[in-house]
Amino acid sequence: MQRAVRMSKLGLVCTIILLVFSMLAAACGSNSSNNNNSSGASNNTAKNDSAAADSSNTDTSGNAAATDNSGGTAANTTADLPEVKLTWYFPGNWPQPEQDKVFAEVNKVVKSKINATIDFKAIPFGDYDQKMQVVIASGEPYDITFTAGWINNYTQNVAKGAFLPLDDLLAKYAPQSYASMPASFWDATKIKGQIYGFVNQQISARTPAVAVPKSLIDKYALDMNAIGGKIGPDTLNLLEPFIQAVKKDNPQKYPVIGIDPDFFNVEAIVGINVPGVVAFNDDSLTVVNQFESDGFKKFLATMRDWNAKGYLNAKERLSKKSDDWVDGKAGKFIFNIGGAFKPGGANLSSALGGEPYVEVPAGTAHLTTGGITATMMAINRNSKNPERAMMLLELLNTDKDLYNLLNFGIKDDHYKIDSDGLMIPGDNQQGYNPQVPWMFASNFLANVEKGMPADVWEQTKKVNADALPSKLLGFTFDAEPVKGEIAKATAVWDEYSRAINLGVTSEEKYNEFLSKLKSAGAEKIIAEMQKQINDWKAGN
Amino acid sequence: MTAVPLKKRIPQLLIHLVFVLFSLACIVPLISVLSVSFSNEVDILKNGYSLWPRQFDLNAYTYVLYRPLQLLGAFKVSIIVSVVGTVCAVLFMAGIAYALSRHDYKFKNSLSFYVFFTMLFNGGLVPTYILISNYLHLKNTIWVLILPYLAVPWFILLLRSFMQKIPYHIIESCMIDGASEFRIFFQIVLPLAKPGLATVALFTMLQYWNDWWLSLLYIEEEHLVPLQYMLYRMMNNISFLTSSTNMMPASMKNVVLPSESARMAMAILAAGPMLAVFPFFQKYFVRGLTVGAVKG
Amino acid sequence: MFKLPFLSPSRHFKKNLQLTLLALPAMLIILVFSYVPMGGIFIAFKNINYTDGIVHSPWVGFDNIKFFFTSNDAWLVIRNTLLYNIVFIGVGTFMSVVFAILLNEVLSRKWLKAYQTIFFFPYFFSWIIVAYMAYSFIGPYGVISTWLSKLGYESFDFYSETWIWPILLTLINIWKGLGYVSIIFYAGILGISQEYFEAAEIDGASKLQVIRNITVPLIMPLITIMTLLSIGKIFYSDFGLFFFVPREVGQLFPVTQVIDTYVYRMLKVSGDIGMSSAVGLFQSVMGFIVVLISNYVVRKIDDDNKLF
Repeated sequence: MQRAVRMSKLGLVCTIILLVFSMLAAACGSNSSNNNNSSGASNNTAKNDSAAADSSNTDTSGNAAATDNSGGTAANTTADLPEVKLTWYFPGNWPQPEQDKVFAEVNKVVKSKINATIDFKAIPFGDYDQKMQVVIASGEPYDITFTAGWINNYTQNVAKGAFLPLDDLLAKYAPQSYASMPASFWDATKIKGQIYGFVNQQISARTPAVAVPKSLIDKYALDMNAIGGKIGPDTLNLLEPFIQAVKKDNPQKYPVIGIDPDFFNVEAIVGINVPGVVAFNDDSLTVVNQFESDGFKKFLATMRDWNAKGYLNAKERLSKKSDDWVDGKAGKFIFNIGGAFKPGGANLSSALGGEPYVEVPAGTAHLTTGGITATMMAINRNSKNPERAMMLLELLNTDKDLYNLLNFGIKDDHYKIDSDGLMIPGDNQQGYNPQVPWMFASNFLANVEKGMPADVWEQTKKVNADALPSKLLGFTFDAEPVKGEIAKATAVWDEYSRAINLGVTSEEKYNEFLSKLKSAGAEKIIAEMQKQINDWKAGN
Repeated sequence: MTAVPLKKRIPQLLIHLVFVLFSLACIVPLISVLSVSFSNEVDILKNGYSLWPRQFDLNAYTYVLYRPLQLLGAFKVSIIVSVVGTVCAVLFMAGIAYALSRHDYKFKNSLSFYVFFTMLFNGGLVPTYILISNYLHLKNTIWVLILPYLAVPWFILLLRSFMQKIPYHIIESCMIDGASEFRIFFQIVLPLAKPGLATVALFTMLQYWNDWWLSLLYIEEEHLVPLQYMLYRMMNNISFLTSSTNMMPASMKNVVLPSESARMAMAILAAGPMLAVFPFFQKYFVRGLTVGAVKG
Repeated sequence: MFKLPFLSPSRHFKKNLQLTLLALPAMLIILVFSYVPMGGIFIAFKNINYTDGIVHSPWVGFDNIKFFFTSNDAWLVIRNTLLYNIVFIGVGTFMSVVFAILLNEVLSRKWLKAYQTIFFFPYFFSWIIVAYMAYSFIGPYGVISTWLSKLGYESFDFYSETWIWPILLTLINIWKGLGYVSIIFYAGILGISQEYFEAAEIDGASKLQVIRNITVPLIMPLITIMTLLSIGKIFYSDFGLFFFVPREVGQLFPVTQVIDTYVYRMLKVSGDIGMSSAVGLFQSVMGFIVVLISNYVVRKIDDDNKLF
């Protein structure tokens, strides 16, 4: 009794303080709460209104910019645009020592072209997911964010209404970028019929690359052309004589094969770690559990066999979550199957592996939703200046100099162009070298690095164009109905994947893995995927 | 040392034996980190770890110290936050802990509960973020690194139990003399509670120094980034990049990670200053302890 | 005993007011940074979407926590979390008290300072660094396997033996925290009035008797409060220790997976705020219940040591 009375007195004090505080908060926060109110209105109309308001304020300069097909960013419209600040969140290898200097240079250009300045929010990779989660949830009125399947999850964010539909904005303010990419690519970004992601073009067609050190190819006479395009879960034995020969002289070396949907010739609906894939060659679009497929079983058997023969050095590798190129540099790779084959890719492998590498594609390249949507920009639904944000994206995707400035830093300082017109590191490369060309805009605008073929981007475009489009292209899975099951299945994969990859999984363990997936709700996930695919098929 | 009688010397030796062994357990890993930071990266990968660098190599430090001004700036932020934060926090927490330690304080129980409850329940990430960034507008200010840790429940309750040991009759006699609570607090209690205050001050300083969480969420400007967050960013980037490789875009593999030696060099640079400051702190710490323990 | 009959009611009021004023700055900080955000606990019961905004998103009741309890390993990870915490609290507290008492026995000031400084080293390194340290010793290329092979023994494969990990993790956890926690008890011992020790010496009590009858009982309030505070966190675990140190080796999950790492892995793909809040709330509520019970027990035994 006594205690209850005391509590209530304390409660009174607290309530008073709380009231005072909330008044204070209301006073300071009136701005932001207004924003929230206005954005509470229906999505599209609010944006159209603000677009309309904007253009009426500025004597239809918005329309002028839009109809100006010569670039949409021509200088003569600049004067009419009111100055704005755009907030742009993106991940990368930040911070770079001289990023402020480079960003200031970028802002000079952007200011002169579209009368905007960018508030660069360059977030380190490891923090980006967490950061965007709170930024988006808090309703902050940032303008542009990087989004993809692997970071700042695109479909999830769209499902929750975090982004603005871009169809109208693209047509109006980014006609060049829109036209530069096949319609099928834009289809891949569509969710419920609308585009929410602005694709940064890069290599989109996927098949793993088989990277082999040149020294081993020469010494053990591996015919790369004979294996190129032929490597899959059923045909790994093609490589066995080579492994055997190398292994005899170099017991410390081992082959690396990443578990990757493209390797198994399937399209993963959510990711390799969640059950539910459709085989590239399956016209009926039947969703199956990849872990029960014949290809996977075959792979499992081969890995077991290789481990038994001592090829995989499993003991040593089990304590590493994944194989990275650091091990390659230490001379441990017999070959590495993973990533995606692309023109000029061997250049990178050689740099990372510390010795010349040769690459061939493992199988046939396929164009999948995941491949295309791996690098995108989205505009915030609370953005105050979505038009200008779109103009900025158009500018970055059309202005080669601006893009290369952002990408490689200042010419003759951070990078240099040699007499052949190829890019070489500058004296001060360490000052700015974020190494994420696909982060800022279309990779095809990038300076060609020395060692890459001069027409590397033409080749890349050709690979993209020649790739077989997945039959699921344009379908995006809404994970909401089965998010609990997906969460459960994800944890299971983490536990077993490495052991499977290293061939140390017994039949018993494998069955345990399958039954755990089953009790996590694999069947429910697959059924939901099938249902959505059927609906999508019916609607097409 | 010479004055120690034989009877006492054997137990002393045993104690020293235990402590020297544990000290070794603390020092050897530190040496291994130092050794890696001075080693050649490829050599580690090829030949494994060793407690002494096989090939002495300063690459890691030239990498980390490439822009020393940046690092110095981070040092400055860390030091300001740690010093200002510790001073204010200890004062704030001593105030509430003193009130809680008084048996005759009317709200003792409910206030204890008020403090303790927040150890268990919190609003979670998103509501806190919304409050701090949208309402308090503390994002990208140095205050956001200081304010949230000014009243840590764990330290308050710890301080409270230190203060409970101050003999009540001392306070009582002051009250009879008509001293106000403020005077008792500042002139009697604070000096007497020095061991507790020194402990909590040390812990608070460590908490400020080691924190990266607040900067992760609320700092986006490089000149406000503290040292620990610099280290954390580097480490976290690496664990992110090595754990989600198979979903990333194809060209992702060209990301060059800082070498293991560079990471260790960074760890040394981040922990080093505290290790250097610690003995000084301890001087006051030990002195404070003895002063506090004089009277009964 | 604590009533002061000579204080008039107005002086009582003044005293309480002044004490409240002393407590006020900290109270305000706690109010702003802890209680105000607590208003957001409702997120645990909502399916958040940004079109409706956080406040107007639909309620889903307990759906957000269902995924956790219907998973394969919910009970396993709850068990792991509790067992590890019980061992950590028990062994950790015991070791810290022993170290504090021994520190108090060290006669040389110089050594004392050296020990205290050195014992703090491990505390300065983040778990990621500690994981590297551990790896450099027990990894396949680590110091231990190098030595073993030099001595002609077969190398021991730490990362595939599950039985050793509970021991390893306990050792590492205590190694890291010992310097930190023992300093609390050491300060507590130094706070004990010298009179007690002098009186004991006059009575001719042995060292062990002094420890048993004076030192330990007098720092008991500290031990109790430290234990009660740790018990409140018994459903939480140190993410860094359990995530980084075992290096995410899947085979070790049965013994290294705890609630925090498990939920992290589950929500890696979806990153749902509602679901993660719900698990957090569950951990809080359970911890709260356990603390209420233990506080009740403590109150029965010795009212002075209670938490609130």
